Amino acid sequence: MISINDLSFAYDDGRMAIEHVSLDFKPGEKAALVGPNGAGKTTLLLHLNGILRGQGSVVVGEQAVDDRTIKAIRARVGLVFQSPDDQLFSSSVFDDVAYGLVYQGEEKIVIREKVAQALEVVGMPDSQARSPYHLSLGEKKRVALATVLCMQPEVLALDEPTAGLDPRGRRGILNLLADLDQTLIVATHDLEMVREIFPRVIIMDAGRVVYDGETQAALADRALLEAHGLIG
Amino acid sequence: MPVDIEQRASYEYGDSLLHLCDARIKITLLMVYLITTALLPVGAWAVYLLMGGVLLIVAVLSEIPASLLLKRALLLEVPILLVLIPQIFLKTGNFIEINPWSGFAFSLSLTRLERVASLLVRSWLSLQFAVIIMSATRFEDVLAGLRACGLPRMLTAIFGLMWRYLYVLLDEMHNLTQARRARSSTLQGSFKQAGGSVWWRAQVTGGMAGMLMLRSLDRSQRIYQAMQARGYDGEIRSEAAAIPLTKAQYFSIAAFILAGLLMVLLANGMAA
Repeated sequence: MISINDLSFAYDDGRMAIEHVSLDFKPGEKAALVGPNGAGKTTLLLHLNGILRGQGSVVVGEQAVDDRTIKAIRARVGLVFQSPDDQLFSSSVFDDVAYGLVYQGEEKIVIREKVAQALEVVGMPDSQARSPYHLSLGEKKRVALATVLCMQPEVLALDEPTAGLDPRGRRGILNLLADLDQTLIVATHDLEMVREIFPRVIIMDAGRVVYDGETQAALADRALLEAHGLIG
Repeated sequence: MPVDIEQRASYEYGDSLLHLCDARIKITLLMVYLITTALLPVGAWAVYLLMGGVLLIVAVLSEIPASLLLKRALLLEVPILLVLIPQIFLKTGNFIEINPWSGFAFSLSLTRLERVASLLVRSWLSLQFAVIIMSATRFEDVLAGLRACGLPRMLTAIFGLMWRYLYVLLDEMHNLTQARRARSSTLQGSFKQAGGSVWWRAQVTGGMAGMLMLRSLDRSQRIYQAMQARGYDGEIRSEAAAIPLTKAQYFSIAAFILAGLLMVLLANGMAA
């Protein structure tokens, strides 16, 4: 589904964010990206739908991410940012969720239907007329997820979906993620969520992949987790 | 990812003589240069040349690439050019009619030409000098320098907060546009017209502007509270500004003012 080959990226100040990363994701796979702050997890996610472009290649399906394919890739890979405030930019929940569909040129009736479905899936069916600005963090996270779910992408790339949530909000997101059929790539510090939902874990540190394999084996390896700042 | 504020601003890192010079001296030098240039009469070309020489010395002392300094100043010069250039085509004072080909003629005012050329040279000298000083001085030091030169506390606080919040606003704008880009997609093989209508795009942009305003207000409020929590009382404090000026520094300030005065007298004497 997604193939990342020898990907490297440096920010404007010359700092290497990711170095020589190569990964493959199968359709329907659920994989977690974990690692300390600054490990390059978010940077890697931003490459999946071409927000950032580094050296090396990212291929989604049969399409390499480049100028010609970027708009089609963004329909296939839905990206949800860590802060829902970065994701939500419209004056009503409906407008925000509908944005991608309107941009794609969908019919009004289809848009209304898909928006309602997406908000139903994330448990926010009555929020269409509300302003995203006035939602709680948990509600914003749900609506942020709905903004990409309504576009029915094949891949969901989520950045810290449970960060800052109270236990009930976190549980709601966990149940939601467990039920999704799409390929799921999630950057997180929440190892309990990783254990519960993701059979595969990729550990990143200082821009490199240091472990890629089964979650249970990784989480049982205390030395590995300590070495990469995943436990105190 | 947000970039370091100094890197996005006009400041160029360095340890040249100009970088190391006290901000108060640099601000005084800049003020004297700007006032002197503004007071020079039209057509005092020899004095303009002298002012250019001073500018060259300061540019060399800054050790900042000339191409970068020129680019920044010329960018600022564009609006002035746009305002001044049409002036030379007015039929005022001593003017000539030019008829390059049949059916097309325009007038060129020689009086205005000299005035416009003088204004352009003086504005460029001023902008270029300001660009050099600003490129070699951190903004906090500029504020502290302005405060030390007697600018009221309220004004320096306003400048400081405007500077700080400008980047808050830019960060927020970057995040919003990034989110919009991430969802601006087209379906493969679809014949539907993607991108939405102009009216819808305008509505989205309007919504984003409103959201930007609300979020910037919130974030600015949080920043201000954090500043207050750390003892901010409206006064910009700088280590350099706390050190009293030496006699040599006072002497150099007096020398700048005297040199500026001499330039103005010389130029007016030549013009008389």
